[in-house]
Amino acid sequence: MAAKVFLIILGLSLLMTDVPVFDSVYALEGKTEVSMRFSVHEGVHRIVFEAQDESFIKNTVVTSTQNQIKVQFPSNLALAVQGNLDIEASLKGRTYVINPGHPFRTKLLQLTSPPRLSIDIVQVTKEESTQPGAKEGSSLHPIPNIRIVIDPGHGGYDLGVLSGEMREKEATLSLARAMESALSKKNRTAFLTRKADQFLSLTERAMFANQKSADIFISIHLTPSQSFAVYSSLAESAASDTMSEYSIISRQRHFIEKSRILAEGMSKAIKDEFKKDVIYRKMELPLLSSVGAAAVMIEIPTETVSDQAGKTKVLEVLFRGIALYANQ
Amino acid sequence: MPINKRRILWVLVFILLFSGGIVGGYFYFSETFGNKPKGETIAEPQKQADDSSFVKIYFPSEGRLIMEERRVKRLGSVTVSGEEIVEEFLKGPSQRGRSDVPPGTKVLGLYFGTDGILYVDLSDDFRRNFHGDALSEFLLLKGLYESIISNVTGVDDVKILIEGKEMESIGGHFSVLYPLKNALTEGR
Repeated sequence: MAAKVFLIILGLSLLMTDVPVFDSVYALEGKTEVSMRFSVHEGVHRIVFEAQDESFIKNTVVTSTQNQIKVQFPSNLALAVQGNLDIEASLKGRTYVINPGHPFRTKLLQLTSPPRLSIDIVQVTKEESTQPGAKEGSSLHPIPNIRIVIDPGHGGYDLGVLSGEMREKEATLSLARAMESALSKKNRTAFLTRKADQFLSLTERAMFANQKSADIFISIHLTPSQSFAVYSSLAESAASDTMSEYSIISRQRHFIEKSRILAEGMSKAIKDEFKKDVIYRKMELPLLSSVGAAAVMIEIPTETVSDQAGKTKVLEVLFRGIALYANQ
Repeated sequence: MPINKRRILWVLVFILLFSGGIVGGYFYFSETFGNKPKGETIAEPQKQADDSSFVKIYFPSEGRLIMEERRVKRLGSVTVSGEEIVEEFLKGPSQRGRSDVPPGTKVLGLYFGTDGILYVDLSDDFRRNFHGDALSEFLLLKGLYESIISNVTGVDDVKILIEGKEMESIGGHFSVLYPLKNALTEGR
């Protein structure tokens, strides 16, 4: 009798224990199986997506706005949710949308064995969330730890484009610094070709990028035009035979395909964010031709970076462009 | 004899009247057309036309090159012709609209090398007063290059000098350390 009572009590206690249970499983053919689990520790919500396919996790893009986090998966998925998430979230097609319901900042980790994507959501005060640079620092694009060289265009006596009070050499430096700062906060390796208002030749910029063994080189410029422009090198036709004595040293030849992918990633990120067409040109730009890395030059409309909100959007675009390239 | 004298007299009178008519007519017509630039009516315009040429100048303007025909002094040697062309180019387009030709630029000299390269020495205004993006810089260089190449025979390539010195770039995007033909390879 006592044994029966013991077994009943044991059974009831097991049922009451918070053992992870598969609440819902959508196992359909042609879909990647992804499991999602979460935990809360000292006010930090951690959501982990796990899949067998490493490329699936690599190509997942996470974006955040002030109120929402979007996890965009590369293909359709069968999501197995373990337990109850105490913040509002739902799967819409390939996108998992999370509404934390309070000001937040986030931290993203991409891990292997097994392939998984971890998102930490940290509650912050409203003031913290609206501080300049807060959003850049918390950008969630999964950028792997690659070496990124950021080149603020112009500098010193070379003012660049002038637009009212705005001078290109200063605007590009401001953007580049914010980008480097945000990447550093995420423990990414980023270098600036110039950190102050100084003139640097095109050769010096290229040499710097090559000395740093850059994986990615992004030269930031402005344009008075209304459209964004993305440039990559036309390295394959750098010099004709007759003019070989004047040919520009082209280290870019071996990276031309990578540069094309980076340029396309940037173009896509701009289109998605600004809903504008992007002009993509291949030209014989000596700076890009001399860099031994995936290299692009981006021209940003001056009106886009005239306020902090615009700058923040541009930074998001740059990070997303890098993420799209890195996850190809 | 009196008959002969009379005949001679009549002949002299006739000659005098004829000569007087010619002289009178000359002065009459001179007076009639006296307020107009006499010498230029026929001969001078012809002479001016002989001393001038029409050239095609390519200007960067609002994201493209526009061609204008300009009348210049008759083209001579490579350097004289080249200077005429560059001077016209630096004046900028006559049409309305924004032009990216740097204002205030002066031609300091032109030198024609045995390698077929025309060296164009410009004042620092060409670099200092340029504030365009990459496309504007490309079109500025392309316009100058095309204007020279299409009008001055014998020139294979063009190289820009600033204040007599080689300069890496005019606007921070393209190289002018080398002659322009190669640098202006157009992409897609």
